[in-house]
Amino acid sequence: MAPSPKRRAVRQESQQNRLLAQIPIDVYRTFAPELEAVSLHQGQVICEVGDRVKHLYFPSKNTMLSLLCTSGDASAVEVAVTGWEGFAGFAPLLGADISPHQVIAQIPGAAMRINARSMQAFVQEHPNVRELLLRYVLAVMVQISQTALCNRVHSVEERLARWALVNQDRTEHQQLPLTHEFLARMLGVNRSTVSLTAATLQRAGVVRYRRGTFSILNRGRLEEVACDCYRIVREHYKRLGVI
Amino acid sequence: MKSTASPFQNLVLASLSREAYLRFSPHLEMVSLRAGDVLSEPGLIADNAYFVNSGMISVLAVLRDGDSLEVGIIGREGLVDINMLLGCRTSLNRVIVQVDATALRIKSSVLVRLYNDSSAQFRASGQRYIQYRISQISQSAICSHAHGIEERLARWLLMTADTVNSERFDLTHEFLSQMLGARRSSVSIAAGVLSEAGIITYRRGHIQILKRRSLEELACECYTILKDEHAALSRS
Repeated sequence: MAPSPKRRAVRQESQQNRLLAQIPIDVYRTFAPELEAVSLHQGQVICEVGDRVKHLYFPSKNTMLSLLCTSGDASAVEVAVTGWEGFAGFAPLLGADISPHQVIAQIPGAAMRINARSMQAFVQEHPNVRELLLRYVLAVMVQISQTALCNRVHSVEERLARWALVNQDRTEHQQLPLTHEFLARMLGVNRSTVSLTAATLQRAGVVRYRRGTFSILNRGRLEEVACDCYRIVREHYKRLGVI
Repeated sequence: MKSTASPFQNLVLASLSREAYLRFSPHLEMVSLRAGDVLSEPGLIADNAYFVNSGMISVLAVLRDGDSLEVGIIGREGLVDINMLLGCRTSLNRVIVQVDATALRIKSSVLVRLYNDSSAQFRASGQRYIQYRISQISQSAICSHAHGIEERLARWLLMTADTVNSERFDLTHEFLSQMLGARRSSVSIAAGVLSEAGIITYRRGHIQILKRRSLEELACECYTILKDEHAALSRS
């Protein structure tokens, strides 16, 4: 029997996010009414450190969220990103409600969100979904710990290259709208350092960065410039079945 | 001091109901772990899990060229390692014994099964512990990026003292540099500053904290943040 148009629409919607797509369709259909489609603009703050997590966000393809850690002296640094392979707002799944991270939209676009309480009730009834999501939490923990080391020991050039690759893996956009300020905040360095580093990569013909638009020209070269952290995190992600 | 033979020194096990404990106890084996023992490496399946009773275990992010950074400290509030509570037996970090420890060892396959079948109460305590470890990792990320070697060394010494419940412990410069993700020479200089100020003594790998208050003043805010989270975890 051919699937009904409605059923097909539900399936299509779930395909926008790899985690949602892994939920069996019959289970997903009971879950779907709780999901709300939202559109996120660049730099939109979804959650601050210490906020109660109200929603879990499942980015669609081409949308990317950034998790930042902050310190009392106002410094901040990106510690993880999540695109259509994952979700943000995991505290409710761990029986907690406070976010340890600031979550912002890095590449604007569509996402599905669900109320934290609905999600808690849902995973209570569907332990397999809980397992699926917790596995992704583990992947994020790997990413954060590798980034902690990376931020400590690698040069801005290596980190910028890794960052660009991580972005490209999650989007089909050829060009990313990105200001120097934004990039500087993600890497936790000042603007002039970002400008200098980007200029070096641009002269080498690896990237183009003009008027706030960033594009990769030579991915192979970029992989050579990036630190090992890019490959290490990817291997863990593969091992965990996230990508 | 309590006898190290009591399994309930470990706070995760202590949260078990008597009934649940009886299911666990046939599988638990008391072991001694020596400083320097490597309990797991990234990408390898860990055969055993450990509920720590005393001492201190470190969780490291590592690179092939030998650089590393401590992203977690495990004492009697926790277990090696949380990946098993998240449904994965493969280690994602290097886990190394930092200060001689005692622990209750259990086969990881058994732990995964028992945890999945366990009561809501035990699962809740496992989840609180995972949440605490996420805080540790996240704090390491901002700390290693934003704070200087002296502040970080001070924080690290305080956290170690709190975990092992003693102002004296043994540590080589080599270990310290692995934990802090800094060169041995930078660690030596920072430790030298603390020694000259009379805050610690550090001779032939033996550390003693002399002026705890001064060390607390030097340490970055990350110390207080994590100490408060640890206290909340222990109370719950």
